[in-house]
Amino acid sequence: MNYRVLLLPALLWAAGCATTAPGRAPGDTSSPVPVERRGDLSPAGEALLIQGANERRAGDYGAASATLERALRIEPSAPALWLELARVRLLQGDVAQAGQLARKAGSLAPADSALASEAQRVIEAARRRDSL
Amino acid sequence: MLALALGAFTIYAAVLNWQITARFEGRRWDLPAHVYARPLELYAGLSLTADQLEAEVSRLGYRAVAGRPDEAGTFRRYRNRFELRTRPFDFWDGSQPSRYFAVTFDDGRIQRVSDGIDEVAIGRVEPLLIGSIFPESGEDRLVVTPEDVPPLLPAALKAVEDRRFDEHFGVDPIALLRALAANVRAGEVTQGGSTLTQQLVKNYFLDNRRTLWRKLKEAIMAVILELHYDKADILNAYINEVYMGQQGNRAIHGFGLASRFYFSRPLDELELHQIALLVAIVRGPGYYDPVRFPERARTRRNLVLAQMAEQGAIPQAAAQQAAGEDLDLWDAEKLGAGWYPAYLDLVRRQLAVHYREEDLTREGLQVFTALDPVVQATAERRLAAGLERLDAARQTDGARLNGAVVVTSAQSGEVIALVGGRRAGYAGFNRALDARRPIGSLVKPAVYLAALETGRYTLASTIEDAPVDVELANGNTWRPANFHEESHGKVTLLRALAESMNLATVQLGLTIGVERVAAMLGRLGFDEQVAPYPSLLLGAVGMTPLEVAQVYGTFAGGGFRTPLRAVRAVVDAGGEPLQRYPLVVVQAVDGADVYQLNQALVEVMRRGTGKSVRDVLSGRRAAGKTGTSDGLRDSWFAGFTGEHVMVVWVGYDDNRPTGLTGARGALPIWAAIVNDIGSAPLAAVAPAGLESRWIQYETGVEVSRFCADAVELMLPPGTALARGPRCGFDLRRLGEGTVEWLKEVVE
Repeated sequence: MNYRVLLLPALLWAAGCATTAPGRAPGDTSSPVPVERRGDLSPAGEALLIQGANERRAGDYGAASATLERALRIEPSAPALWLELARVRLLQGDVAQAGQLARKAGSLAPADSALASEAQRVIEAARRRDSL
Repeated sequence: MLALALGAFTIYAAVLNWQITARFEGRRWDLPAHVYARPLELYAGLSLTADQLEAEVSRLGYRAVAGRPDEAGTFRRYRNRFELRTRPFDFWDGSQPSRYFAVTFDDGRIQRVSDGIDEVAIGRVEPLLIGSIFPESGEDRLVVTPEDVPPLLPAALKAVEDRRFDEHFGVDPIALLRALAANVRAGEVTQGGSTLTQQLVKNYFLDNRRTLWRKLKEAIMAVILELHYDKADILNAYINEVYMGQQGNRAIHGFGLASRFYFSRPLDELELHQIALLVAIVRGPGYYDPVRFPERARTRRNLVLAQMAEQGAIPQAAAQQAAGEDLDLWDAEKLGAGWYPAYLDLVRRQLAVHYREEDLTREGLQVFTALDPVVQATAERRLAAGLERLDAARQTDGARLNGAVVVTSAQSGEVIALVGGRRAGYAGFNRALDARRPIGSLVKPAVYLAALETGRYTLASTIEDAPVDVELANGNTWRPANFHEESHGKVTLLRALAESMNLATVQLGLTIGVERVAAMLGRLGFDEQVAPYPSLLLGAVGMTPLEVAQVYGTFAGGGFRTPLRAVRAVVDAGGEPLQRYPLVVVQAVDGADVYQLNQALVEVMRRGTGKSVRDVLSGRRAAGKTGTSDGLRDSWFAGFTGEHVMVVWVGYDDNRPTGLTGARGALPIWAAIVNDIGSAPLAAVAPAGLESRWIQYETGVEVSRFCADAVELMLPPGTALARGPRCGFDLRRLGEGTVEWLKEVVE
């Protein structure tokens, strides 16, 4: 058992308090990034992931893209970042890139991890959207 | 007659009026696009030393201070503790105000970043301005508003150039008379007596002839200007217009750019002695060039300071103190922040897809690139030194080798450094983009990948390294040979690729079909049509170093192709984002097949043609391939770490043989750069579905991990392997194996 898994909820709570998303409505109680999508990220990568996710939730997809690409420059092998970028592309309507980025996330995630199955879900969502 | 003359003059004045107001109104100068390097990101864990951070902020013209850095653009360092205050900057993804960071280091990495109280997860320093895209005329400038101008600058200009600027109407009769008297005494034209307004007019039309007619015309235009516009406007126009220096075909205009050019600082951060130097330079940027004629410039600067004191613009004591200062010029070369013509060339080509030339040279666009000045400087230095060493080691009739380097980020496809030739600081033939040379054995990974993809081979499969006659379409027979003319018989794919065996590769390629290999190159990212001739199997295809980086980037990316980019984003003059160049990935090849291939490319470095640099890499895991073209004309190395993809080419411009293999020419340069930049080792995650097996390197039979030449490979599940001989009990090997096993358990 990786001890970091135990730490994550605490970190998450702390990070959730520390950052307020621009444009996030007061009283917005939607949970921050789910634990299983994080994987092992550095504090810098994690801060940017949270920022990117918040920007996505606020509907500012351009900002979210820029933030996540910034994070990927720091941690190019972090599947959680690729996956989050895939979600942003899906919301932007770029179905093809959403699928590709999710595949990339899946290729970097440990087999049978929550991240891998989450990536698979995005791939399938992109495929469904594409066939509409 | 008089009426006629008066009429003619009126018409002439009207023409001049039109000319000068049009020019002045067109104060929306042509604003060249400004190009920035990557901003340095500060975060715990980043591989960066205090020295490197000091170099970075020095490149940005930061001032060292004794107390806490409270002003933008200053820093303080005490051993391994570093404090800095950044300048406010409008990034493509938002503005960052001036921020204070305290950074501590440990063992070559940033240990902690804080804002003085709380930990900061990530912060960034504003990027270095690396160049401009200026028009044919060479006119480059960075326009400043009156708020950007330190009050001492106008004071100095008036004190030295035009004492009655605030009172006169464009021309200053008193100054003119004084100059006339001086000229009469000297018997020639030595003094101008021109007001700042006249100088501005002169600068507009860039005519240095000192004829009377010219002067008269300037005077009339100066008066017209003063009639139309107020003093503040004219002064600001002057500050932005004047010619301040030259760098190759680039003409430095205005104090804003001059401040960056000479000191790497924004104008409002200049100290008194620096302002005085710029005002000294105005008088004659060639004559008072502080780089070429430091003493002359210094004398003139001190004269400016003295006149400022005399006019009461500054206290006498301040003038004296400033006069004792060094010229304090920004030594771009020493700081590793040269001029990047090769990289800018790539930037321009990428921008040309979306922008017209005139948009780039006029609209004041801000272009944000991925250039890393540290990696760039390292690559330039290592290439030049490597070529020097190679030239010295061989008897050549004065011919000098040349070369090119491309460095990209391994997963995101950003081009972070590009060296187009031996003399990196000079524009010229850009070999990284334009030298299309046969790639030799660099093509082999594409052959093996195509073979693995058929499912009929694994790295443990054996093929025949034996002479082969290939019937060509034209009826001729092609008889390839190995480098040392030998053949090895039955070999594993792993060994054949690691040791770059030609015969085995040709046999393999012909078996699976050359078309597959040609198609594979296209999928990997090579855009040109490749004819599927058998000679393709040994690399009879021309690519530029950048194209090779694109292909190898797909290996590094685990089968995902990412179009290479130099530009991250373009922002307009008002800070509005115009264009982003988003990260795009496309899966070109199955990840498991690429992972298998990459194991062989790692083996190249361990016991194949790349093993000679093992010591240089000091245990850093890397993957790559040597390439040598026919007749030893081109020496290549292409490879990657966990962080970077890097391609080095070495050869002669006139295509004569170099006598160098890829391993002897390009490889040592490649390894030296990888080592210098501290590139993170390769640590790819094995894709689901592959399983670990131990095989004998030469035969491919399954053996125990304790056998002498056992190699661990991740192979497709259920790969049928012949059983190898049981190895004798070797205590030494067992010892090593046990240590490794223990390590794995612990980790």
